[in-house]
Amino acid sequence: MIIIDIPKDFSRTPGWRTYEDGPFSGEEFFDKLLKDSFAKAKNKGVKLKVILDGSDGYTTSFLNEAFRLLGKEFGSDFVWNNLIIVSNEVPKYIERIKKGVYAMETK
Amino acid sequence: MPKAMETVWGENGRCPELFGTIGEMLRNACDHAFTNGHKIVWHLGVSHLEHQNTVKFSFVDNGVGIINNYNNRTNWAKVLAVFKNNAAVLEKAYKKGIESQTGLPWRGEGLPTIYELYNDNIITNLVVITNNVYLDFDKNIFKEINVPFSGTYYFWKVDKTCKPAYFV
Repeated sequence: MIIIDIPKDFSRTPGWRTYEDGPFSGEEFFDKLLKDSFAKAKNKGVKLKVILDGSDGYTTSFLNEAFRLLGKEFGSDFVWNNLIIVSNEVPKYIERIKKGVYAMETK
Repeated sequence: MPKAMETVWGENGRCPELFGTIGEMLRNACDHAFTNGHKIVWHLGVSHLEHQNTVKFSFVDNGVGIINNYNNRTNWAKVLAVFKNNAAVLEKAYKKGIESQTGLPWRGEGLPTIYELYNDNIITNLVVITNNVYLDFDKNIFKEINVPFSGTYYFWKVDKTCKPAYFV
């Protein structure tokens, strides 16, 4: 299994949607960490675990953009079936991520 | 945020949902409040009432306001045909979002996320004033007012009646 711990590996204070919105955006997280980590997990035939706990908090736009781009790149069902999201502090983040993964299919 | 949690709960801690929601307000201010992004002005006020274990927050931007912003960009007459007035539109926007019914471009879920924080009892006494609309969710008052305000103002409290959604 490949693991991303967002507060430790990316930022404890994630930002908003795109680079234009400021540092540590969902788009930046996708480009710098999420995309390659998921690709590695796919190549190894393992799941990607993403740990959200320990941050100062997430905006919906950060979560939506990062995982929308992941779903667009690898396919929504494949992504959702190969992700393990750890969000014990705020469980509702998991549903927001799922919405992001499937966002391109509902447009 | 850690200081606010200490005032209310007696411990320094993170409150991810409140932190994220203030982020939504900031984002809305930048996205919706101004036509000229270089003139963004907002203010976050935090008052600690230590003897009452209460923290009062206010967030204000002096942009065009939520109603005027969408009035400028969408067919507001069509929206108002569905709802009885601006206050009813915004009540719906905060509680459930209205994109699916009206085609309004609420791309994010910022407004419902703000209400969700209140509905989950992580904050209390949520009041929103924007343009000619006054929303007081505690008192169930959603009305138009005669003193239009160009901008968006939020007020809320965190006290001991709230859910302790903090992490040390």
